[in-house]
Amino acid sequence: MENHSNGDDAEVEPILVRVRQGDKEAYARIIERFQRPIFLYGYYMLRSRQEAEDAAQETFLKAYRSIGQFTPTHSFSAWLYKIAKNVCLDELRKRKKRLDLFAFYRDRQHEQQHPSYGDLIHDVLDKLTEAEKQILLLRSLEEYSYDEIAFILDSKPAAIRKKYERIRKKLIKEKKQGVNIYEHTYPADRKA
Amino acid sequence: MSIRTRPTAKPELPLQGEMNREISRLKTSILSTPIEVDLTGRIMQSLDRKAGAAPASSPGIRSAVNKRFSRRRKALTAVIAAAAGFALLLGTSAFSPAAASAFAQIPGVGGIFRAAGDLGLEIADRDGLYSEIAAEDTHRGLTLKASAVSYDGTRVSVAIERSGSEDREDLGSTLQDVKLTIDGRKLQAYSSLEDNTPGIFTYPTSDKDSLIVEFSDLKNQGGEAFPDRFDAALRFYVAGIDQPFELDVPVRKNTDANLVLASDAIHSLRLKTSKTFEGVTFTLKKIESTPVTLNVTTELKLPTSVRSSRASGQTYGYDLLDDQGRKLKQISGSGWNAADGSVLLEDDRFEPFEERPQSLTIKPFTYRYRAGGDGLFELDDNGGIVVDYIPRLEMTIPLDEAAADPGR
Repeated sequence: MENHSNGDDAEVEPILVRVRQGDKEAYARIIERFQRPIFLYGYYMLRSRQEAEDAAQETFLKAYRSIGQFTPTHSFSAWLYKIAKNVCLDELRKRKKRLDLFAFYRDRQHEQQHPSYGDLIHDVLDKLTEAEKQILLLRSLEEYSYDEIAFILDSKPAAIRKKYERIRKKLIKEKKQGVNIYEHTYPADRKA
Repeated sequence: MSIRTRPTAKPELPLQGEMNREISRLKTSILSTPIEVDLTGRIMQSLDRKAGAAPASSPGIRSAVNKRFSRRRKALTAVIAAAAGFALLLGTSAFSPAAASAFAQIPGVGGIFRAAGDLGLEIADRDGLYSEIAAEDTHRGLTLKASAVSYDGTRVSVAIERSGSEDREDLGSTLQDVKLTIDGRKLQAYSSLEDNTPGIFTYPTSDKDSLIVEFSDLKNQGGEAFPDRFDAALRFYVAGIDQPFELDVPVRKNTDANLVLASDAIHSLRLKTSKTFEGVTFTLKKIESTPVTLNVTTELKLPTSVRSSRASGQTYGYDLLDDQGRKLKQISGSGWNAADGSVLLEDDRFEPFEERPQSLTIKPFTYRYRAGGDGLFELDDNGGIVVDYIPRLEMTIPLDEAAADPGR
C-alpha cells in the first residue's frame, strides 16, 4: 500500500512549523484540511451530529495544545485520528456512565421520524463491533495502511488485517441477508 | 499515477470481487455523507477564549515549540569554567553527590529518565543530577506516582509512573490536562505578560506506563525566574476519571553551576551578537549551558513595516553548530511574539555538549516555499525542507577565547 503519511506531512509540516512559532491563525488551515473527515469519524462513532461536532472541536483543541507532542513516526493525520479516537471513546464511556437514556431515546425517536442518509450507514455499522467500526471508518475516510490503523488503535498491523477481512465477510453476509441500504440514492442537491 | 496491468496476477475470485465492491460502495457512501462541516470559526474562537490553549505561550499540555531528536550518548559532565566578563550563575542547591549516587543505584528511581530518549536526562540519571521523590495519588484503582525530578535551572523534568491500569494506551494519551502551581502561585504569575505563560510539556518514554512532565520559566522572556527550591503542585486530569491526581513535588536545583553567557557580557568581549541584514536584526541574547541542557535565547526583529514574520511571508529559524560543524540537536523551545508581532523572543533548548566546543556558530535561515503561493515548503530529493541560510546574520561565539581571558 502506498505510504499515506508522506504526502500528508509534506502538506502539513509547513503549517505546523508556523503554529509552533506562535502563528495561531495558521491552525485554521489545519482545521479546514481535516475537519470533515474528523467530524465524519466522530459522527459515525457517536451516532450524533451534535456530539460529533463537539468531539471534533475537542480533538482540534487537544491537538493544538499538544502539537509539540507530534513526532513524525506516523502521519500527522494519523496522530489527529488517535486523539479523535480517544475523545470519542471517552464520550462513549461517559455516555454509558451517565445512562442518559432519555437523550438516547429522544435521539433515536428523532431519527426514526426523520431517517437520514447517515442513519442508513449507521445501520450497517451497527452490525460491526466497536473495533471493526473504527477500522472500517479509518480505511474509508483516509485509506490508511494497516500499520497506521494499528498505530491509531494501539494494536498490531496483523490483527488489523485479520479484522478487516472479517469485516468484509460480515458485510457480504449482511447483504445476502437483505441489508443493502447504503446503495440508497439521494437527490444530487443533498450531497455534500 | 499510471495504472499498470499485472498479467500474471491471479483472477479475482467472485466472492472477493463482491466483497471489494461492497466495501467500496460503503466507503463512497461514508465519504459522500451530505453534511456540511464548518467548525473552523467555532474552534478558533474557542482557542482565543482559552488562553491555556496556546501552544507557544500557555500551560496546555506540552504546549510550546517542541522538537524531540535523537541524542548523542555522552555530554560534558564537568561544569564549564566560568569566564570573566561572562555572568556566572552558581546554583545554591544542597545537592549531595554521594546521596545522589546512592539514589542512582536504586533500580527504577531514575529509570524513567533513561527511557526518555533525552541525552540530558540520561546524564542527569547517570550523574545523579536529580532528586528522588515519592508523591502519589490513586483514584479508581489507578495510581500516578512522581518518582524523580531533575532541575538544572533551565528546565524541570518530573518522572511520572502509572500503575494499576489495564489501559493499553500510553499514559500520555490518557491525559486530558495537566495543571501546575509553584509555591502556591499559578504558573501565569511567573510571566510578565498575560498571554505568555510557561508551557507544560509531556514527553512519552519507551514505557507506555511512564512519561516525563517538563516545564521552564520565562525569565529570558521578561518573566520571573523559578527559585532554586520550590514546591510544584501537579494536577493530572485522566480521561474517564473525574477527580484530578494530585502530586506535590519538592523541586531543588540539582546542578551546581551553570555557564551563562549574557548578551551584555558577550558585548564586553567585543563579540558581535547582533546583526542586521535587509532590515531584519537577529540577536543572540543569552547562552546558558548546564550538564543537562544548552539553552539559547535569541531575538528576531523584523522591519517596522512588517508586522510579523508570518506577514512577511518568511519563516525564520536557525541551526546551532559546534566548532566541528556538527549541528546540535534541539530538545524543545518556546517563543513569544512581542511588540505587535515584529519581535520574536525565543528560548531554544538543545542537547548538552558532548565536550565543550571552542566555539558555537549560529546560522539563521529562512524556510524556502514552493512556487505557486500554496504555502508549502520546498523539499529536497530526500524529503528534507530546503532552507536559505543568511550568512550576513551568522555569528560565531568563541567560548574558549572568552574562557582564556579571565581578566575581562
